[in-house]
Amino acid sequence: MFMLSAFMPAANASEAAATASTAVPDAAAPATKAIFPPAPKLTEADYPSIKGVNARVVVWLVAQLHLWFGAFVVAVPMFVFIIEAIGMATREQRYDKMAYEFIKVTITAYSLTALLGGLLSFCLILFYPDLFQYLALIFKESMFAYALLFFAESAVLYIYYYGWHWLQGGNKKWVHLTLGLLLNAFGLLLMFLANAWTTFMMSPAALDAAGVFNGDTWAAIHNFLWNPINLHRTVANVAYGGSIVGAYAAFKFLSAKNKEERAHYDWMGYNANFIAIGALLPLPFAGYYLTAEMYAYSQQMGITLMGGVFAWIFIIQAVLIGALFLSANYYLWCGMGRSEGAHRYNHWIKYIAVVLVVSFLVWFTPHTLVLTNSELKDLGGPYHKYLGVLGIMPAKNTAVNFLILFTYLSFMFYRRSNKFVTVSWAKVGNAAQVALFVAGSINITILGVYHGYFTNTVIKIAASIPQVLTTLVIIIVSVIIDALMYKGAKDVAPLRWGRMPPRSQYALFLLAVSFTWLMGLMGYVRSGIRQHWHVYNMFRDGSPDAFTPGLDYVANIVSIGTIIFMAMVIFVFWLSTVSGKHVVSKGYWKEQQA
Amino acid sequence: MNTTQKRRIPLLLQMALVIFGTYFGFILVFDVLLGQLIPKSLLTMYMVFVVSGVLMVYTFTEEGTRELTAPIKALVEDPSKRNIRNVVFVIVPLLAGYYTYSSMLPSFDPPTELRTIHPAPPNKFKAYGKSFDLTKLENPYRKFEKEDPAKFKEHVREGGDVYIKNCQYCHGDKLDGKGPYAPGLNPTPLNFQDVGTIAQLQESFLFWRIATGGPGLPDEAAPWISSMPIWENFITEDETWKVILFLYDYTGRRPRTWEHE
Amino acid sequence: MNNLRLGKKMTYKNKLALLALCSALFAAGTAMAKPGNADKGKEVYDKRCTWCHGAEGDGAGAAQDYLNPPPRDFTSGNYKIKTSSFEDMTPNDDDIFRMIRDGMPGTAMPGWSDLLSEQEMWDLAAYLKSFAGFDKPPEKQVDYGTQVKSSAESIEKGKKLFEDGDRCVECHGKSGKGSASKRLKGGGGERTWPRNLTKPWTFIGSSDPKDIYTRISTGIAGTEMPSFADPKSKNVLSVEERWHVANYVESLAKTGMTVNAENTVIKADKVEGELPATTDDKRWNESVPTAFYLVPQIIGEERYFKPSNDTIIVRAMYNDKMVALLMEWDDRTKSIPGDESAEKIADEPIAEDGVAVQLPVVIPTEMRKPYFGMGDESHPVNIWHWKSGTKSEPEAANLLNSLGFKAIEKRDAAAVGLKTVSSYSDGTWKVLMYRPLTTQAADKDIQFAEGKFIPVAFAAWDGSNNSEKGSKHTMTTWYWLLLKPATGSRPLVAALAIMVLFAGGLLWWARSAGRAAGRQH
Repeated sequence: MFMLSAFMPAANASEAAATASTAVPDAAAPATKAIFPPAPKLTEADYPSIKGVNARVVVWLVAQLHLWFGAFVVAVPMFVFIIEAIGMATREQRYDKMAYEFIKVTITAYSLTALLGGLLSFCLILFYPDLFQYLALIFKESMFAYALLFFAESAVLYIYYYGWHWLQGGNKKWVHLTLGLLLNAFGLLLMFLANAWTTFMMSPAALDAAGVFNGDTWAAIHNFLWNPINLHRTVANVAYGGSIVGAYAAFKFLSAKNKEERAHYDWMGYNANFIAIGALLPLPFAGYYLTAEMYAYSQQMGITLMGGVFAWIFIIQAVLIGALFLSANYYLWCGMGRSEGAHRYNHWIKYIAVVLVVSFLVWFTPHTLVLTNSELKDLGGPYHKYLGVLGIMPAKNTAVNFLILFTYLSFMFYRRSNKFVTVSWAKVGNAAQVALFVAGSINITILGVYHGYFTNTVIKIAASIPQVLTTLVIIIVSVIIDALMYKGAKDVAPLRWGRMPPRSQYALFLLAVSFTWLMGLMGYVRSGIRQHWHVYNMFRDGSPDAFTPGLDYVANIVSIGTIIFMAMVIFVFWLSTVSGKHVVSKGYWKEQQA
Repeated sequence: MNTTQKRRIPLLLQMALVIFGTYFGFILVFDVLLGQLIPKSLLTMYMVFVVSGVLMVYTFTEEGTRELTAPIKALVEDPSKRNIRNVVFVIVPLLAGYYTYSSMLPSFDPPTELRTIHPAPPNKFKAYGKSFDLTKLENPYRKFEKEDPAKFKEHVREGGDVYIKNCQYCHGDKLDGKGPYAPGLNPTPLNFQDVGTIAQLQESFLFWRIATGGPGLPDEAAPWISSMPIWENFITEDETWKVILFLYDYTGRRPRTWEHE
Repeated sequence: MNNLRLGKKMTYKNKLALLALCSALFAAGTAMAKPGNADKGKEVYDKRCTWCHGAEGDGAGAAQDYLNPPPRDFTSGNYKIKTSSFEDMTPNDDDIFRMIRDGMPGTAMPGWSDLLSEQEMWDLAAYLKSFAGFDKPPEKQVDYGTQVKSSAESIEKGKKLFEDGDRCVECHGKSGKGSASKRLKGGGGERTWPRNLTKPWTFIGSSDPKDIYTRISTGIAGTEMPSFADPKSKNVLSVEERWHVANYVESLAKTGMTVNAENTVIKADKVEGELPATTDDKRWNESVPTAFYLVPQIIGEERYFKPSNDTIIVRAMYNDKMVALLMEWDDRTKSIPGDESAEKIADEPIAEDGVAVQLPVVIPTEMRKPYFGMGDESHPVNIWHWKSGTKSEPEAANLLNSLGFKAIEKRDAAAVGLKTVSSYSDGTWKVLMYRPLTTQAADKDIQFAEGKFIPVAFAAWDGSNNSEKGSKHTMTTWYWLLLKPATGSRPLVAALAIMVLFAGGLLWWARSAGRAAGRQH
């Protein structure tokens, strides 16, 4: 940490990381005024090739696997920290146990992340030497800092994990919790640094027309898309980490031998799902922020993203997110079976389902429809009079807000299912909530319809802000009302943890797989919008792979990556099971003479 | 489950009714009532989600799942249902066989083309013997809209003359994409009255599309089938800007801009 | 607003409405006339109509020289489509309204009902009449008598009257395709073509028998189509006779050869033995015809704005050696340069008729095709181009390889075995083209293969209608040619396999369930 400030003029970076870093501002900047080369003009001959190896696919897959594991490893400590803190606050040991189990899964994944990271650097040096050299010169300080930071992160992680049972009780627990905070700080810093290299390739900063770098390290790191990506990745990582841990819990639940284990892993799966969905809800907004910034940086990049070749990927994205929301909701509904009081709410579920499904249909209705010839002629053109209206942004924004709102409603019902209201004003409270939801829904609809179709809006993305605010207000106010209303409410009966059908666990699995696939796909889009540029508009990709591949090709590669990753993840899960097994092999060891 | 409840339709049948009802509902609403058919590809996707939604609703409780699967289980396991079982066991393989057979028959439906209608424009493009930077390009006549409305009107009028001499054959007198030549074209000419076309685009985008025409499209937009001529060969730069004014004026749409007003 | 003026107008309009009501009893599908406000009509006119019809209503809008038929000159008072008697130039308000609302098929005039309100259209009608100074309603309407319903007998009578004394045949030809024996011109001196009565979608006043009856009775003002209700004409027809002719004309329009948008694939059946040697071979009747719209060439210089044909019909067959394509399209004139009778009706200078088939040299496996206008730099096309010949030179088949219309290579058609056979009869060309499925030069010629979707496009030239320039022709966009493969036994085998699999699976399920149940008991 102390060494770090010498290498990293990281004043704002640490701000962004929300850590208490005390860095020396711009200390290193004047010293690093070096002569930088212009962006090389490469031909196919400049790219080393190994016969029978497709350089792009290898780098693609390795980078993606590294990112998947990296995302998981960065995310888990965040909620482990929170769960540990909850455990400390409530003094319920089951939280501490769960936190420990989460971090246990991370340990193996951590080494896999490091291995894949090493492999990725090798691959880059091997297949893209000129690019790597160009970037390494610009980022030499941060790359060095990154390597050192990695050591620090490893050290903290090992102490945190192996010292878990040692650092228990009183002040020791507080030391442990501080270690957790440090672990998160290092993890996020690492990610932010690596993000800077990536975003520099998308939105290069401080380059002249020939691609000569004329800024300092901070200028390169703090490029246009850095913060939007940092935010988006941080939130997405939490959601992703939650979903993978959920898959772990499902794995353990399905293979559980007794009631207690089932109850424990059911509870763990519930918490993991809660984390995943909690982080998933704000994700669309982080996504819109990122997209808006991309448009702001380069309109062309924005249009490539939303209207060009990649437009079809966003349809797939919509479908996948649909699968995410539906499986998460399904899991919640199934979870109501743990409570004896759920039947009071069961008949409402079908209405939530209707809203969710209708919202989805709106959400993935593409702007450009896939039409057969006869359909094309029948419609008199590629635009559908009614469905075309659903294809543009305002409709999507409206749909997303409804999705989030009704997913929240599912959760609210879940929370209520095991409680009896005791306060006298329950009826008024309920009425207020109903009114809130109805008014909010009307507001969202009117905003969407009015902004989308009856104004000459300049940026339709901006029009969604009041909608988001409405959604947030409804959720927040409703949470407050609920909290007051159910203060001191009686439980119907103790929750029957473990009373969950296996179906629900497959929903958790589906959640993890969809997440992985989705991340792979969107990762491709983020990288792919540079098209034939290594560094956007500056450093041209001269390799034979500089073309934008077709959709089916992309889907296949991402699917292969997902399969490899899921196989590795299951291996990690299995390892954590193995480590807990002790086989007493009688007669194998020499009897020790006492 | 509440035992005092009245007898109702068995869950399995209910589910089937809901699914088929939705399916035919879509067709009824779009194809019949609204007169704009629902594309098959989209309907398929819609139904995938509708079916999953319905399945979720019917199986999220243990009782529901049991009741739903009970008839199927009984059919397989209950010895008294032997006759129906035999019938089902003949019908199901026959249906599967028929489906396989018909899906493997050689298709005479031509391949469909995934075409992007409004592809991403390049940063720069060449037309009229010079290079244009699309990120900065603006309609030189747009400013008259506020500065000199009379002059603006005159330019719109000139643009209209250009349109009627050159564009209406395909895009139509009403700018609705239904000109006299339109039936013979594929892709069909764009309908400028539609909210999804020029209202979503900047004037510079239109300039690029008009000046370089179909052959100027990037590959994802299938330039090889677009009948849009390369207009820099026929009309001047000025005329192009004026015709753009006319398109927005006549349809009452506004060009998209990136600045807040 | 001047109250007095308004009041006067109202009474006048009321009278008009009454009259319109009477005419509405005769003309089906018309709306009740409403009083229109000419001042308001002018506003609409100035925004929507001046582009073609001109600010003064004289048809001198910007589009004047690019349209055929040209935009109507309202000051002339000639209304082609009207239901008032031939003796009275004045149209009914309702006639004008109908044209505005429904548009005129086969012309650039669209129907405006989706953009204008009904009142606006009535206002417009009122304004239009003011151009020719029509201030009174027509005095006489078309006499419809009693409609004679269409029947085989009526059609037969109509056919006789149609042909009798060259009454209709003189211009419309024996087949009704408009293969006239004389050159026609319109009121403005412009070239006009007699209606091809086998193409109902080009009837500007609709192809309903009642509308056809009206055209026969009133004639078409501003053209050479006379009124057959005029007792002074030697060709005059009685009310009943006109119904017979109308029924006959309607029957001509039912050809079953209209364009079906769903059908974009020409399906070639495989035949055993030799392919048909002539255009009239009976076997062509079994081949499914596929009709496509032809669009004038307006992509490259010089552009073509006044086409005389809009469709082409294609059939195809193949055997194990050759593929044959039969193109059939309507052309009112057989254009043979040097031939006197042909030159008499042609627009100078006369050129040859022609047809062309365009195919990619390489059948694409993905979406990417050659540019539909004669290929592009990286995607060459084969063009089989047939020309009708001149008086001194016989008809010929040409083979071109093209990388865009500026890079055309002329090749020897005979060397690759490309042959053509043609026939012209009463307004219809039929051209048959053959080529072996494969050739020696796979890099220059398309190699046909069964079961593949082969892009194909067509072009046609009418030598008597400004086709002296090669670029002035009509064309289609890419469609598909499919050599239909034999089905084979694979689907059947697969279906049987799936059936066995399903049956096996179900039986296994039932048995294991039964066993489980047995264990429980």
